[in-house]
Amino acid sequence: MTDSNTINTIIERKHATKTVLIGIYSGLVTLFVCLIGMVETFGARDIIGGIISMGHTMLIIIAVGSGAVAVKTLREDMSTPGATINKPAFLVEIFVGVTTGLIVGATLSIFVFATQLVDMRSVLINVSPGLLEMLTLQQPASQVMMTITVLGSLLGGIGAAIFNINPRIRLPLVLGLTSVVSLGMLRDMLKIVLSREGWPSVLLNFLVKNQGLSIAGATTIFATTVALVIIWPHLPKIYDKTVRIIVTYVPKVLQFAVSIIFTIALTMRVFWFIGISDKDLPILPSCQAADSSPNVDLAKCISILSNDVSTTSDLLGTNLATLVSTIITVSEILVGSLILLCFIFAIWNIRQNANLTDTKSTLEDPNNALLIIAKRNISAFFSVALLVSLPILLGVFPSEVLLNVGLYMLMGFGLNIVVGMAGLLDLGYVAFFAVGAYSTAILTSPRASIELGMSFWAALPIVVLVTGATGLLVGAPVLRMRGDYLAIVTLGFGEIARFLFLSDWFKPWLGGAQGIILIPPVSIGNVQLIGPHKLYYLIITGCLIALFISARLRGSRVGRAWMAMSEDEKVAETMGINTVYYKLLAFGLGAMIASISGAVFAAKLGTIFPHSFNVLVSITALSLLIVGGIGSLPGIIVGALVLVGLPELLREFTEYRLLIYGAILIFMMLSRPEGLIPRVRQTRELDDQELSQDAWLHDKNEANNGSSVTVT
Amino acid sequence: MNKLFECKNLSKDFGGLTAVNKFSFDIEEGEIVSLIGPNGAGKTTFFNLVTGLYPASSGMIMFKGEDLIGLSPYEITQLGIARTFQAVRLFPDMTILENVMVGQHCRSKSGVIGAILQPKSYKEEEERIRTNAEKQLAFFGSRLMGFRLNQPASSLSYANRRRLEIARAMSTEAKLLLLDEPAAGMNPKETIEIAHLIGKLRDERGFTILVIEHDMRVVKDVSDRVVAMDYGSKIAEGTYQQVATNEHVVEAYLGRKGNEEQDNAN
Amino acid sequence: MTSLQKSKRVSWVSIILWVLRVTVIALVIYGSAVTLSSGKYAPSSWISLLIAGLAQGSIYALIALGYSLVYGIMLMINFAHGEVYMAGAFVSFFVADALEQSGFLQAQPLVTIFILLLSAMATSTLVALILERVAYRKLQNAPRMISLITAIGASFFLQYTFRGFFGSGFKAYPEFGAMWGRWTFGSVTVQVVQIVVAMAAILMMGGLYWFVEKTKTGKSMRAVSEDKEIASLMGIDVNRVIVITFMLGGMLAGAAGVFRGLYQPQGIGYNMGFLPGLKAFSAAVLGGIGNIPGAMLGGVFLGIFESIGPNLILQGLGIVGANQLKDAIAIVMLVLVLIFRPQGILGEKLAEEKA
Repeated sequence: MTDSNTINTIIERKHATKTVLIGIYSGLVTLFVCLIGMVETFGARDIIGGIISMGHTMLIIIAVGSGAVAVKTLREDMSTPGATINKPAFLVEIFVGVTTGLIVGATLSIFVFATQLVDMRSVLINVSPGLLEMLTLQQPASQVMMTITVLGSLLGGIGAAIFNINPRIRLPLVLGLTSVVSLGMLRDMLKIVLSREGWPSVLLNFLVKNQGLSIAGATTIFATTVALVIIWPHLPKIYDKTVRIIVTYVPKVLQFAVSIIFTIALTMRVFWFIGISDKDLPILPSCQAADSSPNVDLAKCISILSNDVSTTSDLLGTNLATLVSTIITVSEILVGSLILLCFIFAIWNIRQNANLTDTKSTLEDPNNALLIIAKRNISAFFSVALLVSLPILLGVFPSEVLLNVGLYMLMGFGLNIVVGMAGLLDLGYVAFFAVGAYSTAILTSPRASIELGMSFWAALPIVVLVTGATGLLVGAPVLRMRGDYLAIVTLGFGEIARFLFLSDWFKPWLGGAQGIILIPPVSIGNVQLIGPHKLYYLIITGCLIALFISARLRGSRVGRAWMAMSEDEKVAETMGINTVYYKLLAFGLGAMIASISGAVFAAKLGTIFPHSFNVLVSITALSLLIVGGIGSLPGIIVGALVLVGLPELLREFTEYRLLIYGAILIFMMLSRPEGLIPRVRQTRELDDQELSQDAWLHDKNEANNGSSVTVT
Repeated sequence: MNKLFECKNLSKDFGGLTAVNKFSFDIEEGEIVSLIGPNGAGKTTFFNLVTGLYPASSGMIMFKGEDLIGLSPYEITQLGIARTFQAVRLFPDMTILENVMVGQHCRSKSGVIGAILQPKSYKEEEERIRTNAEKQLAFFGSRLMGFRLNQPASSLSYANRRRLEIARAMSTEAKLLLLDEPAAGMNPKETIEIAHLIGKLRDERGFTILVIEHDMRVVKDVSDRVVAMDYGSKIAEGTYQQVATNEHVVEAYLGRKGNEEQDNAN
Repeated sequence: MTSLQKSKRVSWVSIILWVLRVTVIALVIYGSAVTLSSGKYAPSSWISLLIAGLAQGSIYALIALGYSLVYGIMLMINFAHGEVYMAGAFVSFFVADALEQSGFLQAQPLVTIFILLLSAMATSTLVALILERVAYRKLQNAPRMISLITAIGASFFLQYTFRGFFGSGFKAYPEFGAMWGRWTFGSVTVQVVQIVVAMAAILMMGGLYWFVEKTKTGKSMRAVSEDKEIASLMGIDVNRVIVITFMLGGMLAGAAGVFRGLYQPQGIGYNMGFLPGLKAFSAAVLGGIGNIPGAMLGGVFLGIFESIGPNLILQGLGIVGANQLKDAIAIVMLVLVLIFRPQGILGEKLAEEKA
């Protein structure tokens, strides 16, 4: 047994302990996801139809991950300067991976064994036959224990092995698998989009097989991703060249004309899309889950989809309509993919430009400057084009998701002014959202106590002002409180708002638990914005305005005052900043933005209940701010898409949404409080540079004149 | 009333402890006055009273004929008093330029609407703020200029942080600068540099300066007048020579000297 | 310049605060006067409310102690402490349920309560310790905002973990026959359970006070709360003290969970800790956060105020359904305390960094 001997000598005891610990932690995580019901719930969703479910994938990821983490830790430990061996041998690594995997497998098999002895279900409701069926792969539990353990060790070993693959191969491999898993998870979405009229049905049948992806589909997706990852580094060059050619060879007039035509076409399409008669388009059934904000039953939506696009044909003659709609959809798909592609490049370019703007040389060259401007224009153009055409391309249900993302994104922008810019941790932000929704309802609904029956647009300015005033009202008492007290007190205010909305005291005006019904939809001219695919344009306009305002404020005198205040209140005050004013300003502005979100929310649902406005809304808004990095505007967009969009797409997620938010909050605060997409700031690793420049200055002074005192 | 700054019988109690006790003195325009005294003598408390961070228990503070008692810190800054802190307090995550631009806050007035719509007047004001900030930074030579403008203040070395803090105070366009131990923690060379700087601040920029300093070389070099404090009261006032030989001052410092020796021995 | 001078002497913020203070006092006096003069409630019903409030208040006090202890040592608001309490209540429910089914509960109710207390305290302590180890250990010197956000995350994580493990339905504690008897003193009737809960809670708080004041560990706790760095220089293991603090907080919260189950058997659920947590925090602030007798006093006061307040004050003001607003009282009180007396009733004027 030379192998085990070498292993014994190479792995020191502390490393062994660490490996075992990682194994045990991973085992506990496995148990956790089983007991909490995630595995079974996700088990219902197949990644690859009939072969592997999301629940299984989850367990596999944990086992493989445990191996990978153990190896990573080992390498880090061993690469410490004092250690004699810098990189553990391949076999040692595999051994480590297998050990952790073994522990994970053993934990699971012991669990399976225990379920045979004791009935846990009366306490732990998720230890169901369904879960056991998944864990035992429908075999008798007594036989399967060995299998699970061996499987675990194998997976752990694979995890360790992945670490040893050349990164050039590892990256496409991992990304390919990731994309298969993500698309498999999103198969409902895939189905919905692909089953829309105009998309070739072959594609749908090829990719999707009853419960999940087909094998052929999965392979294709994997292959496509791998291919994309491999050619990815070359694409920007091609893009660069194309833009350069366009800029240099295509006449300005032509460029201009093309973009004008494109814009007009797009605008007309959008107007037409919004303007379709709504007679046949059902309003989406929106149900309020007891503890989650705007949610839509996916199944119902899917059933409604069949009615979606067919509305156009009622307007035109059947034949003509079929032809027109086919042409339109095919061209839309083409244009849409083009837009998407350009959008990706555009984003890539923005990042690249952000790096470039500092170096002056790139701008001094007129050709380069022209190129950068051209790229910037293209980015802006395609971003807008993508935003505008999303609901047209995707249809009603995805638009509903986008609408909810938009509602939270708007709130995120508002909250960012309060938390991100002014540094006031407001945990009762839902109150402003609620006041916005309620005041809209009261002003517009014919059933409200006052029976004003105003139109949405007439009500909106009043709503914004009223909510802004509420913001000042909430802000005033907390002005002198320290950060953490302020957070708890605002949380309390949020709760008080809900109590008041619920109370009998205000029932004559606010409707108590029954809420306010019959809130009319928003209308522009003769067109009523019913349905998420139309309201989408409203919320996206709101988001863009909020984004614009936030971006403008950030670099301004007001933004600087907020930032100074959030970093050191006392000093800010001695630098001439009226902190009372700026705190109130932040609360007021934040409240105003939330109120717009609330107003759209009320108009979208047509009915509002106090239960929709609970603390979870505030927590969601805060979480999306933190995931993106407090103060980062792109971070809010990404945060809203990930934290609000994903759970809406994955029905199973909604159950665990707050669990995951909680975990994310802890994780982000412990590991990277600045968020995943931090505010663009230069890195802090400049102290060395700083010192060396000081030294250089110093030397220069000494050399220049004997008297070293001159202050240069 | 030619005095720029004047305080009479200024007192501050913290519970039972009297940190500043019937303190009176004045500064004329263009003077550099040093405030010395052992630790805990109430010097920094006095700064906090002047800048409005603490409310005074009794007494009065006049600046350019205005009574400062009861004013908020930002209003006092607006009237023309700016300060630095003993433990440097910058806005660490803001860039160096932004730090100094914040100082211009009370000399500009654009608000939310201006920031969003960005009319010409807003742009001109921003330009003015930026130019002014750069002008203040240029006072320190190339140390805070160039590529550093857009780096976070936390990336600076200790001495440069002190300089930045002074630049920030300068950019409030104050008449009177209160510098709280500007040379603390600096090496001898930097200390001499700071002393020159203080002189330059008055000669070139026309600031009137009140400085708390422990380093007697600095005090000796820069001050027109020295005020010594102990237990919250003024114990001596005059030129450096007068104060340094004053027996109360020597007495106040002897204990401290003994301490220092002890510290050194440890 | 003179106009500037004038407007600044008395800032408008302090004027508003004064107006607020006067309004609150006026409303309280007016409301109470109207209710009392209407004679709607007999004196005996006030006493019943008072005792009910005392029982509820002692539960708040037990939770509040957890906030206060942790705040005293670490200067952080352990927002997840409400969930520590929930965990104890939850697990003791399962134990109680099992004991009831086996018939042990009916045979030995006192022993059962003892077992319940032990199991709940053990669970809550465990949860508190895991929290400390996993979430807070790294954040000892982090900005308070960061630790607060972590605590909020932990709070929701725990809530939804319990929801996932044990289901989202509400559970009802088995009833202890003997607990639901009534004692009558003259015209005043009290439930046995109220007295038992209040007594037991007061006993525990007494124990804690003794522990902190008299034992060596208690002394090192106080030392750490005075100054962490100096304490560690004096050879005190700060981490150990923090762990002990969390343990103590967890134990008291677990006991509070059992008392809650005895006192209000209905509604044991995953989110039962949120509001009591918020209220207990208010109680801790009311008594002066970081101050042990303060937390006890604050909790009891809050319980009584919550029980009497709606009937006494809000009804007098003519508010319909006053008892619906019971939960809001604690929060309003928290706001008022923080505005007018941030150091709380018993809190000494702490240094600026601490209070």
